[in-house]
Amino acid sequence: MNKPLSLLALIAAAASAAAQAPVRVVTTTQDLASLAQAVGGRHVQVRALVVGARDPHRMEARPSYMALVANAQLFLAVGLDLEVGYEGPILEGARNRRVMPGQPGHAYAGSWVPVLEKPTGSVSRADGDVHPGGNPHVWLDPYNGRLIASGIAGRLSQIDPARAPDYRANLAAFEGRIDRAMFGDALVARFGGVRLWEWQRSGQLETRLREQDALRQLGGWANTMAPHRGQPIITYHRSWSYFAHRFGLKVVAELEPKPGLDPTPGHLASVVRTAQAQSVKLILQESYFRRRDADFVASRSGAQVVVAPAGVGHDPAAKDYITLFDTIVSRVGSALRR
Amino acid sequence: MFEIFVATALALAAKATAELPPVPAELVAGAVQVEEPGTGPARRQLVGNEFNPQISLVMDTRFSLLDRKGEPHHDEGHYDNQGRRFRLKELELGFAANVDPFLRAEAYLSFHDEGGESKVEVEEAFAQYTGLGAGLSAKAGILAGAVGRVNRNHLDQLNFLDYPFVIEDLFGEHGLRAPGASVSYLLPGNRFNELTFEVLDTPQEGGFFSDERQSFVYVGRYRTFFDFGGDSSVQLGGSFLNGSTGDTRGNIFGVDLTYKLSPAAQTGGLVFESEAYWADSRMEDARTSFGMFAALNYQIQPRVWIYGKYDYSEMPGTNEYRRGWAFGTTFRVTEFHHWRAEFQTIRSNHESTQNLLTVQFQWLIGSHPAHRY
Repeated sequence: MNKPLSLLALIAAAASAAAQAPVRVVTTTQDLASLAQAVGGRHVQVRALVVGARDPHRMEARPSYMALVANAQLFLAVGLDLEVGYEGPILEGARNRRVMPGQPGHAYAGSWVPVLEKPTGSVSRADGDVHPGGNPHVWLDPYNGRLIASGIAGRLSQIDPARAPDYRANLAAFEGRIDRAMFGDALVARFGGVRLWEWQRSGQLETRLREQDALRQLGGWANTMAPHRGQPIITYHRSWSYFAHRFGLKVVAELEPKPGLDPTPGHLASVVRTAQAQSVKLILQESYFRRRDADFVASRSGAQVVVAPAGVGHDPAAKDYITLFDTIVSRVGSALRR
Repeated sequence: MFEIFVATALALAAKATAELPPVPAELVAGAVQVEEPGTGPARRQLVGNEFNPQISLVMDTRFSLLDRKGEPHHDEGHYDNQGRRFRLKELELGFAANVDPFLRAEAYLSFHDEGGESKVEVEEAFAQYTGLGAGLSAKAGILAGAVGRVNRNHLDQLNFLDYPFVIEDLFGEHGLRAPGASVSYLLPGNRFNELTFEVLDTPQEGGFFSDERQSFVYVGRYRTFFDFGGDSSVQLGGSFLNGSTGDTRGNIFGVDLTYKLSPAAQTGGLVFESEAYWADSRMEDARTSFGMFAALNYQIQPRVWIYGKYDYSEMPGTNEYRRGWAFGTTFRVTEFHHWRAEFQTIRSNHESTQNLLTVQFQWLIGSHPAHRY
């Protein structure tokens, strides 16, 4: 073989290998990693920076994270200032142009979802650790998970257009899984997930199902949580707003007097009064917060403390995005059924 | 022929990057669904201060109590206040913003009290290219030299009150800060390995290097990082400096070690940090001076840390040395303000023992860039 042909063959082989190589995705949280894995399937290699039951607000920009991001083709963060303490130094240290803000390889999941609790008017640290863009715990709503998965599929298709059909197929499969987990197989088969979500989001799910004589077919998380709509709950941090919003729970107090501040005796006393006055059955908190404050309120109000995973990997049972909600819904549902 | 193939391949690659196909419409439609129009960050409206830099102000005030009167050990030293005193240790004003898509700039001005006079110094002011590709980044301006770990941190970022003796004795009270340029390279691979090379003007604040000959100080640094899963990590580094010490050029060699334990729970965090330096002026009859520090910080409550620190430093070019033991506690009320109390005893071969009790009150307003690891 002559020299030019050898070079052509070499270039073609290299291009083919590059086309076959998985897209390297780095996410800040395991929730995003789980969604990216679901959408990317075998075409992606996904790593999460924050692993295990850790408070995603309080991470450091470890140099090992920089090394991971240096090789990434897609960097996914939640945004809304959740990672404000470490994202900048990580990207700076990674020196990877592909994943700098503004590039196709950089994305914020928070920009793909409707955001709750966006402050109006001026924002001050007198309000605690507030996020000017809104509450960043967006992944704790399964509908948002659907939207984020869709956003990830879009980015993967942009970075790796040859496999866009696979990403679309994986997205459809994931949406089907989350729809069935939310509403049950029978309803999804009868009405389709999109219509059910529309009814759920507009607060008409039960009405419409009743009209269709299909209410008894309601299954999944929606069925477990349906009897508890409007129930008052207390949370440690303002991290369960999206979950409460989706399932119609009413957060009447937080153990933190303001976001990011430790509970004080005076504030706990007021939380006890609220819990007693509103017959609160559930105090919901993450495993990385100490329990003694929740136990104190529970002992004086009769509420039950539930430690639930606030993210994938926070609990051995929360192995992926679907089982995360399986676990939360199961624990919350049990406590509210008492 | 080979050049033609390479040029063609590069042109094709550039074209592929420049003309990414549009996102499939159905995916975009799914991605931008919003329940409450106008609330998503993607729909954020431009407001008047959108392009202003991040501005921060850090205030460090102290009350000090020294157990003896007399001449201070050295004019610039951190325990030069005699007797009881309230004082402004430092007011740091910081600015940070992207200059354009290629360059990010940061500047920090330090207002502090020096011998009863208010002084302003540029602590750091640089612009950095982080998107050069190939693992490279470069910056130029007034830099905190890439020496060890502590020197690169500002005073407000330390886990104890002041820079260790060895940093003060080699580079001055505020550490190695000088105009210059820096290039660093992240080695390929899954482990963090970084090489840094810097050329700095000789600092004029005193210390080991002399600016009489108006020559440069060359700094080289290597650091690596071992991440042992979620909880613990080790950073190891080595630094080498070469610069004028008067009639000749001297060398400083340093090693640093940082171990961090960061459990998922709110307590039990631990930081051990230690650095050691050998300074050889290469002058006749001058011996190599040695200095080191080791500090251990432990988190006993979510917001309370206790620490101990040992310092030892031989003053370059003399036979003087000093050593110190410090014990303290930090109460981090929030991540934006803390109280710290430290007791330090200092012994030397040229002064009587000093005992110093200091209470620090530090707060931050504005948007301060995240701390370096």
